[in-house]
Amino acid sequence: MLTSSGMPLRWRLTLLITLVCTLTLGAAFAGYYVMEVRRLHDDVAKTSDDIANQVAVNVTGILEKNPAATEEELPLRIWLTSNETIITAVVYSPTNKVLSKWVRPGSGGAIGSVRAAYVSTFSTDEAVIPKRLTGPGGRRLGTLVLTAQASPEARQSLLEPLQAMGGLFLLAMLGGLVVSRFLQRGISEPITKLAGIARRVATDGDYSARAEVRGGGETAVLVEAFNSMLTTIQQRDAELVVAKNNAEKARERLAEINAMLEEANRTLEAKVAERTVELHKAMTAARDANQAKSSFLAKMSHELRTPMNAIIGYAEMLIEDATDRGDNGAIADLRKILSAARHLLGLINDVLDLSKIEAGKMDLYLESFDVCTLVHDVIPTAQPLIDRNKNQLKVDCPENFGTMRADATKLRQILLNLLSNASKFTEEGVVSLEVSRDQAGPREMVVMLVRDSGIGMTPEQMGRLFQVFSQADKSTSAKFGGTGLGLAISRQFARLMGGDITVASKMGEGSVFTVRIPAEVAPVKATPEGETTPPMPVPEKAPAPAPAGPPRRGRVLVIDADDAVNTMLQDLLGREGYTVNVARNGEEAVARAREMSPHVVILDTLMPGAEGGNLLSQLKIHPLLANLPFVLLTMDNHATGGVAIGAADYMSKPIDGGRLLAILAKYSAARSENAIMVVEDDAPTRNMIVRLLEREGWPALQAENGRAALGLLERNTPSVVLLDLLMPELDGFAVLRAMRAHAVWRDIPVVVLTSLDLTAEVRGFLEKQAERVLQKGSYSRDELLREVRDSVEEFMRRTGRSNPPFPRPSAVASILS
Amino acid sequence: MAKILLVEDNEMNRDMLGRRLEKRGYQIAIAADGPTGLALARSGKPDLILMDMSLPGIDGWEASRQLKADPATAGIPIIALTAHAMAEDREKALAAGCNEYETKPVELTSLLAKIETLLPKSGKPGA
Repeated sequence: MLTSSGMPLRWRLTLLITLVCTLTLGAAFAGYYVMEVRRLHDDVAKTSDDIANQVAVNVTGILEKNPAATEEELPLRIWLTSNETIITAVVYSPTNKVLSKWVRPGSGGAIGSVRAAYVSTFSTDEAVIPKRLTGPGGRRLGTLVLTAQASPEARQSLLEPLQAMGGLFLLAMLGGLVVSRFLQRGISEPITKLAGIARRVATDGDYSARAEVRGGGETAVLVEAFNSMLTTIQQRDAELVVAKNNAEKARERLAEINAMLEEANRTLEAKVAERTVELHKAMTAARDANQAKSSFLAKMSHELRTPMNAIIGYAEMLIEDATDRGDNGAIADLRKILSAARHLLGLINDVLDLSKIEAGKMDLYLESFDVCTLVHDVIPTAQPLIDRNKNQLKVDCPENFGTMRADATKLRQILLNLLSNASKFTEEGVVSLEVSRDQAGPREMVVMLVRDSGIGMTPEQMGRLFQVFSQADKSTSAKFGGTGLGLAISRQFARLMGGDITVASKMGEGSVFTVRIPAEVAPVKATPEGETTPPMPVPEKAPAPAPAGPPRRGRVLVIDADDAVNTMLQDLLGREGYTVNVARNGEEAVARAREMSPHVVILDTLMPGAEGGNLLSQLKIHPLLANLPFVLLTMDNHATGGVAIGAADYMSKPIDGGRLLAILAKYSAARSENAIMVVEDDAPTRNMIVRLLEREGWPALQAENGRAALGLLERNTPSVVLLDLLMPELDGFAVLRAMRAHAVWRDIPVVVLTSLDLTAEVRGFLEKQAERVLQKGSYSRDELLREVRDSVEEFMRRTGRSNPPFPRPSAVASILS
Repeated sequence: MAKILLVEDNEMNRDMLGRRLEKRGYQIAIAADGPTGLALARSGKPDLILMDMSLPGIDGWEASRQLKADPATAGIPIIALTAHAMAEDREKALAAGCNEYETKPVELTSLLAKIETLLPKSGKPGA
């Protein structure tokens, strides 16, 4: 109850104090009462003991004489009547037989057994006094038991103090209440007040409230702590309010700024749009200007070449004449003219090259060539330059170095430039050319080192080295000649091929120029704007390889009104690599046939509505479908009807998948007699195309150059020739000419695949001679296949043959004829 | 003596080249434009034609095409002379039916080698 949390502290305190008072006083009173009773008891016992002893002597005497004395012989009444305290007396024999007894009349006493006398319970106003009666020699005679009672006065005196005590108790309780009231003021009141303030703070949020500190002790400490806590909270609250205000202001400011930004943004957008237009104009202008400059330079170069042509030619002629006449003086002067003219021509060529590089019109003509052969081809041209300064040329190209695929002309020009440069700045020294391969990187590189023991360069000179019109030193051009364009052009060429030229040099010790060109240069397409030229996909990668799966066998058109059959056939044939389209009726069939140009048509003759048989004859007169082999689905086991009206084969329903596939395969197999010839010198490209064709179900003939192609044509009649233009031995132009001049080959469609950036003129020529011209790297896989397909159809049309992929079975043909 | 038809519009080049070739024993016929070149090729039956590509009237490419299309003249080897040192011009010339090409300014030694290769064996100078 004390811990009952529902009770106010005040009441709990009062209750506690009252309880403590009650318990204390109760215990005191109980103790006092017990002591009083004992005292009274003892008094009674003591006063009765003398009488008990006298009576015991009397009884002993009698019993000594006669142990079995009777009541008359033991006159207890006589002995005891005078003494008022004894209320009962009993004499027991040793066998506890009552020999004599007496009870004071009106006393209410009772006789018990001997045993009861010894174990009698405590009584407030009665005392039982047992006496053993023993004779001489310790002989046991019996027992005397007396019961004494306090006098009424004595009993009254026992009760009187209790009344006084009751009053005292009430007084003590009153005192307790007063004390508790006082304590309450000291303990519970401050706490209650504290609670009140806390409540106020909680409900009103008034942190300014403070509890009153009274007196000292823990309560005061508590109140002080509470107050200090409130102070802290008040401060925090104030800070919070300030922060909140600040945040609010910041938010407003932010909104303002946002609005400003939005405004600015709108303005900016407008400005950007404006600037973009301006920029675009400026760019177009710049591009036009650059184009104009480039074309001017190209044209100028061309115009300059023609008179140069004459100057060089006449100079050479005059030298010949002078040699014939033996006019040595004239020869020396004419040689100077010739040399100056050649130098001028070199300049013009360089300017032309540079203008083409700048205009992004510099193309790469990639071919595979033996590296050492190319290196040794350069030497005769370089030798006179080497000899001029009495230098020695050392060439180190390992035997069986192998081939690379790059623009040979440009590589030759690079080497010539570097050798010429090296010998120009070296006198009576050594110029060496070392060729090696670097397979460390992701692409294999061919590395060519041109080393000289010449004058060398400072780092500052090296920095300017590859800039246009910049030689190591202004004075050098005077001393050593040269256009200053060679190195810039060489580096541009190297970079065009995906490589670079770097230089290492030390003043006075010579220089090392390092050319690094990929062993397989990726083709690039010229970009007219002079933008950076992104590498075109290499032939091995483009067109994208077909997804893995069963090989594409052919295209099948399924005509059935039953979607379940359509789905089933689509699944079955699709899994086997056929491309399947479905049509539900004749109209759809014609539309699908136009989209996909199928190789074979599967027609359900049991279609509801239109009769399959009628549909077949309707479809067979349509030009798109007339020549296609039809496979009929019928309930009838005898296909005579179907075949008679132009079906190639029949199947009875339910469809036996295995048999259907066998029928389709039969037609697919018939395709091999009309192969596609792939004429291409680059093996990876050729293999890629062949794989692509075979995946589509086209067998392929391969030729690695024009001569091989013509050889193959003698023995085979392909339905299409896919022809590369630039090839060793015999190029594509020659193949095309030979084919067009041949009585049989002239009908074979040719699809030209070229990496050349064709001029309109060449393209016009090719388009007249070939069916199609496809730019390598720019056509897609599907485009190529579509061209092949169209060309095959063209071939069929020209030669008047049946559709080659699914030629009509001869049996059917004979019935029809 | 091998007959060479030189079709070239630039007078100096024509004169210079013609004289240099004559000096080496070839018999030279001259045409200054495409139509004349075509006419001379048909009438004169040269053993070889040196054809400038940028000609007035009918240009060298067209002239070559016409000559190669005509069975009467298709067998005459044509060497294209082009002022453009561009591979595309080489392709263009080859596409037009020319058998060889030579970039101007003409490197005489190189041109002579090509002439020798293309001439019928019996048509060699001095033969």
